[in-house]
Amino acid sequence: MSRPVIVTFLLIAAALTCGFTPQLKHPSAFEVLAPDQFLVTQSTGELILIHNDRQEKVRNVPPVAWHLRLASCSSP
Amino acid sequence: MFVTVGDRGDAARAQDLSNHQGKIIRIRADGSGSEIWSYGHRNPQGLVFDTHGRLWEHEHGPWGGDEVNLIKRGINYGWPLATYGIDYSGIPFPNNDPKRFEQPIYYWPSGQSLAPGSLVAETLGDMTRLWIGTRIVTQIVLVLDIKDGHVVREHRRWQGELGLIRDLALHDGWLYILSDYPPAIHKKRP
Repeated sequence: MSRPVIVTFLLIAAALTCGFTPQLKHPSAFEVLAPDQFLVTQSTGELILIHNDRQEKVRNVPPVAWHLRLASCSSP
Repeated sequence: MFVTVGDRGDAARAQDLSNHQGKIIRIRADGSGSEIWSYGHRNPQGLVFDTHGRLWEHEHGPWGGDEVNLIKRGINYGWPLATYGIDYSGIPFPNNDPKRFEQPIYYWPSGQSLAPGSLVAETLGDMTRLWIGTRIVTQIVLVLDIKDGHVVREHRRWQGELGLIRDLALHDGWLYILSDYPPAIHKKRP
């Protein structure tokens, strides 16, 4: 296989498996809010919002949170 | 809300309905109490409803015997009286009779410890596809295609590429995979 063909193949492969590496510390569970927007718990006891390649701490959570699911609710 | 509780190393308590160990518990959202939904579980790890309202679970067996179960109300899933695994000493459990109890939809026999850790269900026509992330040794995404209550295909993907898999999610045609060692969010075409 020629070099241009290999490079093209690698670029296509990278595009198909695209991901990014946020600065997380032992993530344990997540919820996908929208394409490439996430809520993530990590075992340091934080809930992290990742949005537009930025991340911010939302609040503290129990340090071993293995599952995370959003629920809607209404208040009177 | 449904919650899984492992046997916490005391296997006999999974058959004892006076406690919550080795059980799947339903907790009423209005705070009015809870009930044991099913019992006889060893170490449940994944729990998910599919679009038909069926509740799927997977759990760790001892040495081998990891299971995928379709959870039904009030049913005994057999642990520790029934398992397709063996003790870590290599000795089969005495009086083990897996056929006496509700059968898993799928299990991995002795010698295969996959340690399933996360679970997502997808409905594809008359087929249910379960996506299972494994945690410890194998670090793969398992795909089980289930039709008429039987697994018709097991497929293993991205073996060794993703690190230790913590959680999975399907969204907008993509499979998102949360991993640790190294920490990352992977986005894959299912």
